[in-house]
Amino acid sequence: MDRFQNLVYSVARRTGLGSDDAGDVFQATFLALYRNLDRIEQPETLPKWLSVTAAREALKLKRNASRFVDDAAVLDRLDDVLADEEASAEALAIEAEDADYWRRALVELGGRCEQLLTALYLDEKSYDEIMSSLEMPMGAIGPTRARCLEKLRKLYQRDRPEALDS
Amino acid sequence: MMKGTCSRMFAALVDLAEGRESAEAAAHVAQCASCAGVLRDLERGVRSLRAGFYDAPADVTAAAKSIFPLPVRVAVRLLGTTLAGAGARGETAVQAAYEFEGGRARILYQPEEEGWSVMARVEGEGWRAFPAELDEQGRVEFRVQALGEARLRLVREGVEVVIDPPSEEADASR
Ligand SMILES: [Zn+2]
Repeated sequence: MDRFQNLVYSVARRTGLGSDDAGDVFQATFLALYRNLDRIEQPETLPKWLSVTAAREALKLKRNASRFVDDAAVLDRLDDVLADEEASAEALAIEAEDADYWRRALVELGGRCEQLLTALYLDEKSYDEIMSSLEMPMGAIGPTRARCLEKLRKLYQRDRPEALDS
Repeated sequence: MMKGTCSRMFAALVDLAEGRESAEAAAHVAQCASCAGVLRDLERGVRSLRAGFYDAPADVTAAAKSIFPLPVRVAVRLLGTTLAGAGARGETAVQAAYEFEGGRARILYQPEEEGWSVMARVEGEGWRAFPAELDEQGRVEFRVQALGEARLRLVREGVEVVIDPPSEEADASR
């Protein structure tokens, strides 16, 4: 669970759900895992299975929460809506699994590079803010971030399965 | 395309990945498969980082953990230990045999230059081992800093076996 909590919770949050709803998706996902444990034969398929399940649960929650389902015209094409939803869930899951490799690469990278990339991309800080919070000269930020991204990419490349290559 | 051009291009590829413009890099990528691959990775990476990562709150993980029943820990009997010769650092290697419901294990704790290696052979169907996985012959090997950390955990369908190395007192009583 500790290994997959970020993956599952991130899927839910990235669909735009708030923390309460994301918590429900989290619970539903691990409940589904518990019910299907015997059916998941290869442990290496678990991240994919968890992220697809979480994405489905999240999209279902969003659909049920939105009023447009009451619309008779939409009910008529519910099959289409569900098919779209399944395609979105697949896409979200692929994205989430890939993102999890980047997250683990970032943690492994550590140090100044982790700080800088986190500030730039996760916290969306400006160069001005980074200059003062990380005590970095303005002119160094750009080249350093490129070097850090290259290191990050090497770690990602090392661990990422071929299946994600396409 | 020449390698020098590619390495000179990297900074501009990062700009492209971030959504900035670089006509020169875009033109290069259009005819260099290697840089196109790098750009694709960088775009994915930047997009993943920008989308953010979210740790589940502790109460959420705790609630989900409670779905899974804790495995029942079954008793382990130490069948015997033998000294398996001197190892590194003047420490002695120890071999121990254990028995538990549904299986047996034979473990060699061997001192190395730094720390200990633990080599085990597990008999019995369906066991999974921690901290390392069993191979097809039921063997598992891992390294620890101190002998006291050399715990082998075996799990199968709701049952857990925890095997700690034989203590000094256990040795003395033999
Ligand atoms: Zn190139």
